[in-house]
Amino acid sequence: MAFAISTQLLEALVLSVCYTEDTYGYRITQNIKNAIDISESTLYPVLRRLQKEGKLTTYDKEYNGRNRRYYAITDDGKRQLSSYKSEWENHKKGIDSVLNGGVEHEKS
Amino acid sequence: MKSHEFIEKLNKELEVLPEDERLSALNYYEEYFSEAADEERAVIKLGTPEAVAKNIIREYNNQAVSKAESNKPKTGQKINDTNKILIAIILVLLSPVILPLAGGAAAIVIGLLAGVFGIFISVAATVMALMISGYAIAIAGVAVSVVSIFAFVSLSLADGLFVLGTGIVLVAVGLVFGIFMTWATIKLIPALISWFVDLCNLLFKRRKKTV
Repeated sequence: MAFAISTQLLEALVLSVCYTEDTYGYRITQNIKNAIDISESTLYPVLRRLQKEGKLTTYDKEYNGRNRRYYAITDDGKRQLSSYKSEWENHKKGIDSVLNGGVEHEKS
Repeated sequence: MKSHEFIEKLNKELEVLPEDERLSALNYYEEYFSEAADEERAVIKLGTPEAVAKNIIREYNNQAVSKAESNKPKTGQKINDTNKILIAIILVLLSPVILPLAGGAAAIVIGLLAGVFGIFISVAATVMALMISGYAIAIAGVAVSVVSIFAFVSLSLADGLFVLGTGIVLVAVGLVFGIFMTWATIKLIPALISWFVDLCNLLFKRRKKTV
């Protein structure tokens, strides 16, 4: 865990997972954990916040006698996701340009 | 720790939250444990229930704060208006208490002021009276001196001298007294007036400041 992940980035990841398909909590966590090293306990608060902000909705579905709460992305959530994605592209370019070339940037 | 132990502890830690928040979190983690292949390992990887609860509570509080902050421009005005209305209502409700008290306080102040004014007046009057009486004595002395002529004529020289002497003494004492009191009046009364004006200014200016 070299770089702490910001909450916005975490939100983007969660929204992206749910954008692909409606997903239940445990699976969301596992998907993200497979990609980056994060602590499991960070995910629930993000899910809860996105839900309260109306970016995600939930519904329950039974599976093998136990209950699964699925998270689905809303239109608001989709807009937020695309906004996050473009911000991330800029951010990533900026970081990479300095890390890879140490290019001098003029303050715009 | 077993998963149900974790859930129980988490439940306790989250008691500070509103019920729907607490239940939502518990639901999530119960589901999480039931999905996990290895429950015990999942518990270990989550960390302590206290730490997990802290995260959840902190997030909830941050949300509450940012919601309040995003409403600030409106609530700023609303608070001002609401505060004003509340203050007005409280004043009206308490007016049966406030008005008599305020009236009483005002009455005390006015009474004291009047008392001081009365004192000033009486001092000024006393001084002026003394001044007048001084001159009156002097005039009486003049009259006595005049009367001494009759004493010279109808009685004896000694009697005449005695009356004249008395008259002169009276004139002298009366004039000294009268002149002294005149000086006192000239000095004192303007001083009294300016003291009284200062006192009033002090009181009235204070009132202006607090308003």
